[in-house]
Amino acid sequence: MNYDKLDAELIAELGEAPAGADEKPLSVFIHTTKAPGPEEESFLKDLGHEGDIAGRELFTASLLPHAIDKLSSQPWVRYLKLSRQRRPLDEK
Amino acid sequence: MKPQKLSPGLLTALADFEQEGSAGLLRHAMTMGVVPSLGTPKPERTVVFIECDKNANFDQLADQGIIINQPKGTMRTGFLPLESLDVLSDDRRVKRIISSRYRRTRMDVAAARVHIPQFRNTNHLNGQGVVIGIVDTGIDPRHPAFTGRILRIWDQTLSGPGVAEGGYGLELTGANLTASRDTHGHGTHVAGMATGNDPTFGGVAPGARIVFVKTDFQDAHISDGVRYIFRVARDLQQPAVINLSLGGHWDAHDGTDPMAQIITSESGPGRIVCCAAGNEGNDNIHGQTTLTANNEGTMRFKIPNNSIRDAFLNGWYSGAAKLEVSVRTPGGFVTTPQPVITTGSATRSYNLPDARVRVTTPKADPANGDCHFVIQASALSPGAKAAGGTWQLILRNTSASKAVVDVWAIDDQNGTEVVFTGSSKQDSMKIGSPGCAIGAITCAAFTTKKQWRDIDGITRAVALMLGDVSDFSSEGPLRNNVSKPDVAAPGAMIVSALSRDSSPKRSSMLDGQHFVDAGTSMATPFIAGTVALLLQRNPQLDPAAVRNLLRAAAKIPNKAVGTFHPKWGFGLVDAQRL
Repeated sequence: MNYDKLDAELIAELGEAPAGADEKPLSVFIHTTKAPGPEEESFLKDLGHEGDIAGRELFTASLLPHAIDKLSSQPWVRYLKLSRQRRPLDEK
Repeated sequence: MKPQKLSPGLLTALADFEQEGSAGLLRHAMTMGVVPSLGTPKPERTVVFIECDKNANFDQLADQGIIINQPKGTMRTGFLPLESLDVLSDDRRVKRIISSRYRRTRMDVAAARVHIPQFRNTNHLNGQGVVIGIVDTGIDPRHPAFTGRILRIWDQTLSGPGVAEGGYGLELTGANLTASRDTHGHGTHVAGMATGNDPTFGGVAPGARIVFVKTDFQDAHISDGVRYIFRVARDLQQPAVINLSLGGHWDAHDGTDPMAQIITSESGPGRIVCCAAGNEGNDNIHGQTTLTANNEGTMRFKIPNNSIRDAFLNGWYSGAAKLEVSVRTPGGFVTTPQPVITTGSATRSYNLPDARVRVTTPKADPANGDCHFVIQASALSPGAKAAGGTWQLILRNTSASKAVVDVWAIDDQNGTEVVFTGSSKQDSMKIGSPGCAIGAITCAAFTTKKQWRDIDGITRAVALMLGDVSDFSSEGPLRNNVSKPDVAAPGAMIVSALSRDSSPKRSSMLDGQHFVDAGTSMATPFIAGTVALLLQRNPQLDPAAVRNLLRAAAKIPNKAVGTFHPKWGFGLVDAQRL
């Protein structure tokens, strides 16, 4: 795992995640150095990524921790950040 | 039936119902307390006032579905099937049955306060030809305020193949729209304000079409929702404005988090995003301290007893500074001072006698160059509550220059139970993402109403200052000193559409189709609807142009136009000046 590319929340979350088969997918933002080409798209697809990312350097994915590990070691990946929960902003 | 006992409005509604069924009743549902069944097993019902003998006991009428809310009194309120008007009017103790419509005319003050009707009428605008996109808790597609205008719903919470922007959730159109429900009610209320078609509590742009994303509130999925709405609008060759009445504090409060970046990059000519500022104006969720070179400081924060399972601190400071971070528990135990960890995982766990503390101190964030740390305070045993009491965040500046540290408290409830105390608490920088997105229009709330009569005829009131910025509205500016919020709009107390699948408190309900709510969530669709009108007038407006128009039309009382205040932004928008 290249921890230099992970934000604090993702590092902390991975610290919590048990290793092995029971690991759960995490929603993340992926920021790349350039828009992924066919090779990078194929790599992402193999890791379980779904969705159209054509021309985008910042996009989302739901990935297992071992996929985050593989992705973080790719030179074309700039950083990975954990998606967080937001909430409605009424006063109820 | 004794028709002479019925008010004229009730008689008219009854006649239309007898002639046309539920469809005849629909037009009255807009102006009085009648609830059409619209395909549900329940009968058509109405909310009424009942003038009657003071001590009359109507318990036996419950068999007819007649609910009378007060056991005594000469003027009571009730809720009954339309067909039971027959029985009720025949009762000799009943003098008169009056429709509840007049209690519904009193809340239509928000739009008038900022001259929306005049702006619409003068410029012949209603939002037609514009898409209003909303990412929220869902929408009630059967609510008459939205009839025929919902193009698509991407329900991210349903199982399905997803859409191009994400392989999850289910996209719904046409008759399938009703498969998506709004059990929370927030999204339907917001949609009603932006674009509801209702003669009394109508939205700002009732001619617009709606693309809705029912989200699970993960910011990755909210971001996908923004891209989805803009793509659908592009396919339709129509401009779009997106309403985001949501937020949180898991970010740097400077617009560099991924969701804010996506909002800014997706916005452009004919593509505008409006965001809520937040509701933490009364909550000490932000702490700040300035540490001189080679010096130490503490920030106190309080965790309530037996309430929070996990409390978090989200801290940020300049990447040029060097800090060591530690935490002192209520029992006086302290973690080891932890600098930025440059190799391997940057997270460390500390099992202290009264708490488990996790401290994460990675290298500088590549998005803004600043350093970031996260503290998680938990109980020693899984699932138990974190130790209540006063905690301390201890920060040591090991660099040769001063360091300003901003920290936000977050908890697993609704983000406002863990608070800073003492001198570090700050009434500023409480606008998190997506309100901090540089490309978004960020909305503060203004109070236009503080009293209403609920469905039971009881007058309700809240302690807000009428005609002032709402005290709950979160303060700016951003951590990088960008001026946010942009403008204020009516956000309290606002009547709008009620989702039939939600269950608000009866004190918030005005009738079966409307309820009252408050928040910057409510101010945002006011501005989103206004932007829809502006886009109808000029579909090529970009975020900067929209922001300039709104700011120029806004004003803080007794201040010059263009004056910024961290709570008001540039002031309350007056649509007549747009």
